[in-house]
Amino acid sequence: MYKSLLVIVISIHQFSYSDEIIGSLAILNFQETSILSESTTDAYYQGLNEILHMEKISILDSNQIVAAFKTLDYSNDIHDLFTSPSHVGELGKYLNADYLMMGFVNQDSIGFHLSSKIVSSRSSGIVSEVDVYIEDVMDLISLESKIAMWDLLGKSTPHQLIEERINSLPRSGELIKETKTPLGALWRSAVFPGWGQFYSEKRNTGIAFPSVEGLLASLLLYNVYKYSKSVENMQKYSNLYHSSTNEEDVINYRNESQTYWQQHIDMNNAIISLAKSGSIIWAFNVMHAYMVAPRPVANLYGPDPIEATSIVRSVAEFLSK
Amino acid sequence: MNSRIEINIFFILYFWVFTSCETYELNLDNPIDYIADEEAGIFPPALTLFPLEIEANVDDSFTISLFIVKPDTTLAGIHARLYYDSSKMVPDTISPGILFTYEGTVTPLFTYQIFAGQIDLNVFYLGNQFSYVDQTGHVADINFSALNISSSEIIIDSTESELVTPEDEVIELKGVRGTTVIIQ
Repeated sequence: MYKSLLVIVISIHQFSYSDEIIGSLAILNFQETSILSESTTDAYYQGLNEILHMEKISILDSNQIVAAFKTLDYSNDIHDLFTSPSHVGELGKYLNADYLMMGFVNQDSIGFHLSSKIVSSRSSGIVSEVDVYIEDVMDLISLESKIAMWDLLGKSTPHQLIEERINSLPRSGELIKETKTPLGALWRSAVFPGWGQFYSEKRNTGIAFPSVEGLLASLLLYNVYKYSKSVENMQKYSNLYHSSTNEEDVINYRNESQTYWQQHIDMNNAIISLAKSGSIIWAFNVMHAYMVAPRPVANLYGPDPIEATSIVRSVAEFLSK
Repeated sequence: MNSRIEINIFFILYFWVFTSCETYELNLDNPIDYIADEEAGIFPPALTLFPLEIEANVDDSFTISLFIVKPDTTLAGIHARLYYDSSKMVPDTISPGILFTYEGTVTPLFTYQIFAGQIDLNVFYLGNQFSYVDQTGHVADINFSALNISSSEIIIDSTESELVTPEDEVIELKGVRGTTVIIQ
């Protein structure tokens, strides 16, 4: 009893660490290198190489995406992916990536803008979306130049510029909101074992938990039935025992009463044991649902690469040369 | 944090409900059952009244049966003295049980005297009759009429009651069990 409670308390305590899970990210790169100039292509690939140094990130080119969709029987235009997150989810699962990032350049009445999204493979929900207009990008470059100047002068950058930069950059992973939540999975599994796992698309455990619970519930019901019959028979033979005046019958009824009494004790113990087992498995099912559920990822992109170059560092290196 | 507390509370309640499944006590106490008698501190050979407790309504009649339990020796007769509260009940008829009559095939000497709350009952085989019994059995039925609302006991006097062998030896009676009469 105490051991079971201890296991539950320790397991529940582990919830606090589950937020540290780091997701893997696949970037869908639709960029056609042929339309870029040689120098732009070099810079582009240099940028990609830097990203490739990051843990948990993989970049897929158009050919790889097409090959993946051929396997998945996806017949629509690749660019339709942008408006169909459910297909992105399928692709993410196929690629074994927790999240997929993709972007397109579009034109509207305001001007050219880059739309990019991060989609959760598990929930097919958009967890982050950035719409950057070219004008804004130019503004950002201008802003970075200003910051670089302050840096080069060895002065601390004015707070206003730093704030402007923060507001211009995409949101960090900590602020990502999933459409499916751990609490959503938890209450579902609490109501019906396995439901939360199905909700989180963990089908194997989604089947295993209700199956085990179903088996235990069946055994429990069987034991409850046997318990009721034992009590019924015990009372019947006990009444016969007390009303009988025949020595032989009295001895027989005594034995029968005692047999059914022992049986009702055994069944009662079995019911308690099954109920405890069922409760423990139910608890694990709830905790498991909570732990495997999609959740905001604290460090979606993995740790920053040590060799990563910032604009400021690049300028500083250039000047030193 | 809140969900953690809720889960813990839920488990405590869940275990509490399931660990309070009902089990029944088995109380087996029939005065004819020598095991039950021994558990009650009454050892054989014993004279007992059946049932241990009886309820009756005023002016109704009720029957108390006298039994001998596990004599483990041959008996040719029994003398039993019973006491009852004559202000609360009155004996009507007393008839022999099936032990000494051998289920109606033998007619032993069966006599009784009733006097001021006391019944003296004798059952004996005579002469060449079926001469002994050696098992637990029904000695007599005593029919009472309930007089007024009360609770009292009918008891067997262990010192005055006796068991007699075919050789006219007296066997020590090791235990007696009376009955409680509740008149409503």
